[in-house]
Amino acid sequence: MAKASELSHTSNHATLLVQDRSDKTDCYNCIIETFQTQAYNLARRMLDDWSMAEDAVQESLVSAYRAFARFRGDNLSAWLMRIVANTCRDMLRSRRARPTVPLDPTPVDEEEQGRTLSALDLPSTGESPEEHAERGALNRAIQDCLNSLPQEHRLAEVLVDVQGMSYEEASVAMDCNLGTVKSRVSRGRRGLRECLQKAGELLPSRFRHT
Amino acid sequence: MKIIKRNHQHINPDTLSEYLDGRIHGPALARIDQQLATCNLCREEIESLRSTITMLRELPQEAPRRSFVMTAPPPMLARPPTSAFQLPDFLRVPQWVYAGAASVAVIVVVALLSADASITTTLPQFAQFLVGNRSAGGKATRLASA
Repeated sequence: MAKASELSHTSNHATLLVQDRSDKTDCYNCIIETFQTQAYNLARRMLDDWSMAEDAVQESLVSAYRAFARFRGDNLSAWLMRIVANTCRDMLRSRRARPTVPLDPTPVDEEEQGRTLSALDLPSTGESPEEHAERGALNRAIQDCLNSLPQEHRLAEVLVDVQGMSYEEASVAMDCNLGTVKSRVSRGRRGLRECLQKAGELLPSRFRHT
Repeated sequence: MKIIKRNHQHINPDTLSEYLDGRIHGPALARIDQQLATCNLCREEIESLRSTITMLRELPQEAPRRSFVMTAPPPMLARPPTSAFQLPDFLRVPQWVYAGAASVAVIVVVALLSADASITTTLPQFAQFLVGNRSAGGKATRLASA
């Protein structure tokens, strides 16, 4: 549980100062550097679109900057993720209201598939092309299953199971009580399990028995 | 998976989920462990859920393609101009107090109006009743004198 006052200035970015309710001054860019990956991954999993995810994070960080004086100083990560989750909700709502179709879906699809065909993109971690392809397929299957869940169950799953938040932190991020978080996590897990069972052929052998 | 509740009480799915997160302690934990030892269906359920959670935990964190660090503070939203007159601190109360006071005022006004309306509707009837009694009384006195 990170507090704003615990984040020290470690890099040479511009020091953007903000003040919280307790009149403590913090470097906002330090906060951004600490939480931008978590925020981006939350938005990426919720929206399943890297470009929209970037917009969501940017918008959320600006909103958080403006609202920083209202931050009570107990759990910065959950507070920020709450703002990101709200931005994602708004974006999903507007996407449902005004659905868009990409003009040329082919390049995006290749990118979304994890660019499994390009040997240049293979990581240098000793992973074989087959393992890389398998991982890409598994990631895609999990993301498709996450997309099939109701929005709030997906949010609960991403916060608790993907990002490893506690139920208490998730309840702050989701702006609901602990019982609701428990029930959403439980339903989300069961929904994902059923979906992944259907996609069983794509899964690595150790998960195929589920 | 259906949780069948006939001869054997299966573990509630929400409880299983909490059990997997290590959030069950004490006697409840012992009860679940005991039940898992005897219930194949519960064990299958918990194993499949555990695999699902493992898959999610192993998902890699993707680095953002660009940094979101700001080079300058974003413009703050324009605030509505505040009036020169401000209440002293001891008179400042939360918004819900104003809302509550307004609701009470509305209820009182409605109650007064309805009471007023009932008086205006009953007054003519009361007057009619008085007139009727008087005329009946007049007749009675006349009869007595006759």
